[in-house]
Amino acid sequence: MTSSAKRTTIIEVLLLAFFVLAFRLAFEGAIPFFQNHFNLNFNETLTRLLTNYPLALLMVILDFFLVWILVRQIDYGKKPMLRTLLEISGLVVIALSSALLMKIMSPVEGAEVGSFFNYTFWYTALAAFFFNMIIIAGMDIYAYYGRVQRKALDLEIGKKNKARYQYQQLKHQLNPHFLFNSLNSLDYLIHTDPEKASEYVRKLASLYRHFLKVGEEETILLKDEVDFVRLYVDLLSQRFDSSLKVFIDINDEDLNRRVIPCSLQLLVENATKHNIVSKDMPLEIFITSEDGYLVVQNKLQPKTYQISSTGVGLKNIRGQYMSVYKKNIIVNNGSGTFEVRLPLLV
Amino acid sequence: MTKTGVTHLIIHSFALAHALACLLLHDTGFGDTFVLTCLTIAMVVVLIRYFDGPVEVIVGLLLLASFAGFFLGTNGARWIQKMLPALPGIWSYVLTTTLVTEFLGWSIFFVVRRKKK
Repeated sequence: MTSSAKRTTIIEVLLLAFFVLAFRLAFEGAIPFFQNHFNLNFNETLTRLLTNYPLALLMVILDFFLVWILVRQIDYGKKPMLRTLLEISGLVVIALSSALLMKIMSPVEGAEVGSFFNYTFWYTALAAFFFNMIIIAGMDIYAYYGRVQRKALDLEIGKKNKARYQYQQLKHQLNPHFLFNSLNSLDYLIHTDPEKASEYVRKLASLYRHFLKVGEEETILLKDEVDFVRLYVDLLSQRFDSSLKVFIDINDEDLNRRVIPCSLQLLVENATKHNIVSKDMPLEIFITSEDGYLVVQNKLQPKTYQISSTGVGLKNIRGQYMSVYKKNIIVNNGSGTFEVRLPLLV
Repeated sequence: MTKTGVTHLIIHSFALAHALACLLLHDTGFGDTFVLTCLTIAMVVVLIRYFDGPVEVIVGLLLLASFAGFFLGTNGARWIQKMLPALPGIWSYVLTTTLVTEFLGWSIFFVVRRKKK
C-alpha cells in the first residue's frame, strides 16, 4: 500500500515550515489590521460563528467528510502535494460556504451595507477558515495515528501468521507418520520391485527438496504446486493403490497464477486423512479452477474412527492468505461433499 | 542512545531554549513571539524528521503546534498568574512556555513515534 510512498526531503519540510511560519505571522498581523481599520474583532467574529450551533455542527461534519474522503482516496505519503492541495481547496470551500450561510442566517446588526461580499463577509470567512483548519488538522492527525496503529497491528498479526505457518511447514517436513508410511512402502517395493523402489526414492527425495525450497517463499506458481501434488499423489498411490483418484483440470491461464506453498498438498492430505480410502469406497478428489479460485472438492465419506481434527491446517492456510493476499479462503461443508476454494492471485 | 532517549533530549532541549528565549526577549521591544514560534516549528520539524512522518501530517502538526503554542502560551500565563500571584510576571511566562513546549513535544511524539511500514 505504501510502496510508492517516498520519504519527505528536508527541503520539503523546511518549505512547509516556512509557509506555516509565514501564515502564522500573517495571521497575527491581520488581526490588529482588521481591528484598527475596519473595527472587526477576531474573537467576537469567531464567537459569533461558533455560537451559531447548527452552522458550527455543519462545519465539523463537512470537515469530517473531507478528511474521511481524502483518507479513503489518497493514503498518507502518496501524492502528498495533491492531497494537501485538495485539503486546502476543500477548506476554502467550507470556509466560504460557512461565511455565506452566516451572512444569510444571522446578519450583523449595524454592519456596513452595500456589496454582499463586504469586509464582514471576508472576515467571517477568515475566522471560519481558521476554525476549520484547526479541526481538519486535528482530524487528519487522528486518522493518521489510527491508521499507523492499525498497520502496526496488521504487521504483527502477519508476522504471527507467518511464524505459525512456518512452524507448521517445519512440522510437515519432519512428519514421522508420513515418513514411516513411506519407508514401509519402500521396504515392500525393495523386495518386490527394485526398479519401482528406486523411482519411489527419487520421488520422495524430490518431495523433500520441494519442502526445503518453498520453506521461505510466500507464494508459489500454481503449476509448480500442481507438479508437487502430482508427485505427492504418486507416493500416496503406493499405499492406497487405485483407491485414491485425483482429477486435475485447471486451465492454462490459471496455472500461471499464484497460491500459498503446500496449500494444495495440505488439502489433498487432509482429504485422505479424514475420509475412507479403500477398494470398496475409493476416494475421488477433484481439483479445478473457477472464477479466480482453485477449487478442491471431494465426496464426504468420513472414517468410522475419526482422527481428532484441530483444523490447524486449514486455519494456517487461512491465516497465510489473509496475511499475504488479504483474502479469505472459502470452505463449503455440506450436501455430501467437502469443498475448499483458494483465491488465485497474479 | 535509544529513540526515546533522543526524543527526551530533543524535547527538553527545545523546552529549555523556549524558556531562555522567553526570559531574554519577552520584555524587550522586539518581543519573544517570533523567536518562540520559530523554535516551536523547529522542534516539530526535528521530531517529524527523526520519526519520518509524511507531508500531510507535517502540515497538520505544524499548524496545530504553532497556533496551540500561541493560544496555550498566552492564556496559560494568565492562569498561572491567577494561581501563583506571588510569582514575578516574567517567570509565569517562562513556566508556561516550558510546560506548553513539553506538552506539544510529547503530543507530537505520541502521534509520529510509530513509523508507518
